[in-house]
Amino acid sequence: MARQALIGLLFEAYGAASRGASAAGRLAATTGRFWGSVFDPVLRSRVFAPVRMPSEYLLERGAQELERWARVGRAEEQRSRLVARRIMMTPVEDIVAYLRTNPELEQLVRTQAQSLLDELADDPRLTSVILSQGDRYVDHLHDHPEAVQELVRGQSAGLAEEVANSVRQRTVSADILLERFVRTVLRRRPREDLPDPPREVQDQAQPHRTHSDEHD
Amino acid sequence: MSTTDVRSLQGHYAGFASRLVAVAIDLSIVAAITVVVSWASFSLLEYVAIDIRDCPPLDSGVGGGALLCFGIQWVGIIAGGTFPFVYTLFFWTTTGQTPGKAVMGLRIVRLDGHPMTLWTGIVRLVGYSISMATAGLGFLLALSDNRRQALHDKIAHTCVIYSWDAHGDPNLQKLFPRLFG
Repeated sequence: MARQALIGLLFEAYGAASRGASAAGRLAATTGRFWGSVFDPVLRSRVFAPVRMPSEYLLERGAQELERWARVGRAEEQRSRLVARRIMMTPVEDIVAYLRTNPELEQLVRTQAQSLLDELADDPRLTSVILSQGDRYVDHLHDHPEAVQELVRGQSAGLAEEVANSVRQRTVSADILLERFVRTVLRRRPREDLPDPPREVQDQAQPHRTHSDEHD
Repeated sequence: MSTTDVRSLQGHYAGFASRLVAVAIDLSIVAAITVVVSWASFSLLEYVAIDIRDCPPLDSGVGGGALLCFGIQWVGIIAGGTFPFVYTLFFWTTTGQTPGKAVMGLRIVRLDGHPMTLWTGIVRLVGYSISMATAGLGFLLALSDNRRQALHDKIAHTCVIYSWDAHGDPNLQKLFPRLFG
């Protein structure tokens, strides 16, 4: 109780001191501005010039010193943060690494997972849900065999066509390569162009297309 | 037609490699049919106690049995020998493409643009035999000919064209740009 009261007193005292300092600071600034406006014409006169020069020098030195302290403060603050983070993180990482490699914890997790799986496997509600869903799928397939056949046929045809196209493409490339090779062996100029077949020959590539189609 | 174009080559002269693969597929089909039919025939003949691999001599006194055995043997030899030609001729003259050529997307057409006829098929088949008789040189002619015609194509005035939306493998062409370029 006494310890807690002491801690409370310390925090309260700090708060009161902060508030007091803040009020005093505001009062000093207001007073300074007032007396400054009163004495400023006097202090800036030639009479006070010999005194003003050293005082300005001292003020400038003071500002520089203050700036240096602030720089040191900032650096120290950052360093302290780093140190604090290191102090905090190292034990956490150690704990995580320990837990990760701890066989007892692993065993515990495994046991819990296994017991959950066993429980789910024996759960009649889950089994009935799975069975009912399975039955629904089987009934659907039974009622719509054409859809399944179409699907299987489409998949097979698609796969076969894909394989055939792949082989055809490669042989078309091989056609070109072989000819280049043979022409090189025969020391003939590489052929850039093959003559286009006559129109009537090209039309034969599409057996359903006739000359009359072209006139339509 | 540029050999490096990516545009469709449908209707253009088909090259040697495509035709070679088509022939290989046809040979496999013919071989498979021959093996299956032979096996079925042997099994059936064994079932009726005829072993054509060991026919009794005609003068052995078995009489009709020996004659039947020899007859079946000769039918088998003739059927086996002519089957590849019948297969080829049938497909050439009906659709212009054997199953192997259909798989590879190729079609045989006459140079005048008309469909294949039985006579053209027979002439091409004779030319085919001549191409084989020249130790395959007749086939290799397709590699250098401007219309990619082999010797039998020249003889029968036919050519082979791509009947599919033909184009080279873009991956291969990207991989070996200098070879295709």
